[in-house]
Amino acid sequence: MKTDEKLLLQAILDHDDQVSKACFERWAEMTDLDNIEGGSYRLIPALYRRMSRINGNFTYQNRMKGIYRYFLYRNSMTLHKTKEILLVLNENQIPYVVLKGGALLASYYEDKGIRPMNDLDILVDEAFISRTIELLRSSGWQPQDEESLSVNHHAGHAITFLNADGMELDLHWHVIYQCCWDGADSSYWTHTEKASLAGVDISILNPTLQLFHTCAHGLRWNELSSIRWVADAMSIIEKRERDIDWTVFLQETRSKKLTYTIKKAVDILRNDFGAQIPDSLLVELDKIPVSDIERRLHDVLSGTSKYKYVKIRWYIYSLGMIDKSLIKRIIGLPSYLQAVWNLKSRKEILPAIITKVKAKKAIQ
Amino acid sequence: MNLRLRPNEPNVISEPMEGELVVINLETGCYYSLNESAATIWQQLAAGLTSAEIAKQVFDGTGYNPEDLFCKVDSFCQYLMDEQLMVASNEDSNKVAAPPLGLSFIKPIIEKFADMQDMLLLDPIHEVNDKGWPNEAK
Repeated sequence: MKTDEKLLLQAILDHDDQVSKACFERWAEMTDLDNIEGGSYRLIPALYRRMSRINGNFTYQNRMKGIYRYFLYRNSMTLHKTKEILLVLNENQIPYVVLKGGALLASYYEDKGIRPMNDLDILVDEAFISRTIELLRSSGWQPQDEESLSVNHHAGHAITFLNADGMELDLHWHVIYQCCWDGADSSYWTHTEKASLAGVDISILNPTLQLFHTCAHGLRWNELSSIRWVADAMSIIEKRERDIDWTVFLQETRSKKLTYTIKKAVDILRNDFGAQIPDSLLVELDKIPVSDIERRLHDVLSGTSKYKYVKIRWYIYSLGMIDKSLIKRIIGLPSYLQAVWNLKSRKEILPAIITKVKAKKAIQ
Repeated sequence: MNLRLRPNEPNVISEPMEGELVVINLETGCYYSLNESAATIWQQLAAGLTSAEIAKQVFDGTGYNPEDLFCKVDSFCQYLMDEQLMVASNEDSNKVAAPPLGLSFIKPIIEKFADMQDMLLLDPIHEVNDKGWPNEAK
């Protein structure tokens, strides 16, 4: 994490107003708001709210206030408009869980303007995916890419729908990008709680799984720096510390084969931001053996390595088949790639790899 | 007139911030910014006071002509109804004793932003004036 990102998070999160103010001033000195990085930009509403509570006048005050107002308006309208599809799912008794921003706004952020929300993410039981797609279509949501609908559900983790207002809804049948094997998500359905979003009754993950998902998802590399996960995780811990079951958290870490990632997240939350995480969790995490595949997958997901998208596929596939021999994994790889890239025949695999490598080079 | 109003929830939300109140009509998509006097009237209406009670109790002694004060508060309330931000209320239950403002009364101003599809395309850092979004730089 860069110095300016850490200062920004400390300005938002530190309990001591004087420390918060000092961090803000140092951050403001080294930041040109005109050229702010996207990940930091998404934290400006929370920063504005914190500073306006403890500071009379502060650098960038009116522009930060404007950014807060922008996201207050955008989030409020997004939540209002997604109400309709949530009601449709409820009326049709589709079992679903609201994930990420929607869940956090429903239960952890009382101020609807401080946590920008780009889309609505819902997890639907795989048995109800086809029915949900029908309902989405009849409610004016269309897949961003029609071909994505035919992707083998075991290979991908979600598909994106758009409505006429340009709003995005991600329909998940797996919660975590890295964990798409059979049964990977069974625990999510038993660790939920009720909440209300835009006046609609919904299910969200309970605090333990919410925190786990936030950490697992947050450490992935993103075009925008994903430091927001720290603010989200700290909100969950501070608001629901007593409800977090660290034994379940540990079980999830082990079963999802994400020990390496979760250890890094826990270290950041404890050491840099003083999160109340028990020592026993660290002791137990240290006891879990970390496979080479898990470590490599984390590194490639959180970095910008060469041939990233091809490597990611290999490691995700290998993580799901970790108990199989290398030979068996290699034999099964073409079928996996064909499914995940939605290719008609195996002959298309090599050209697809070349295209993805070229696309990555173009990005670099 | 003596109007008793309440916010048109859940279609309308409001959020106070630094000397202003932001109100959003979720049905029409319109965005409103209320100055301090307007925000005070909004909050007192939401607390159960009538327009006459607000004029008398809240702004009494602020050095303003009482009749003019009634008139200004009433016309502001009428605007809130016209914009469907508030609706008539029969409830008297939440009424709280309103302290006098202790400030000079300034005309309640509500600024309306209706073209929000265009406003959302505005970059809140680079395309706004020194008041910040949604005030577009000319």
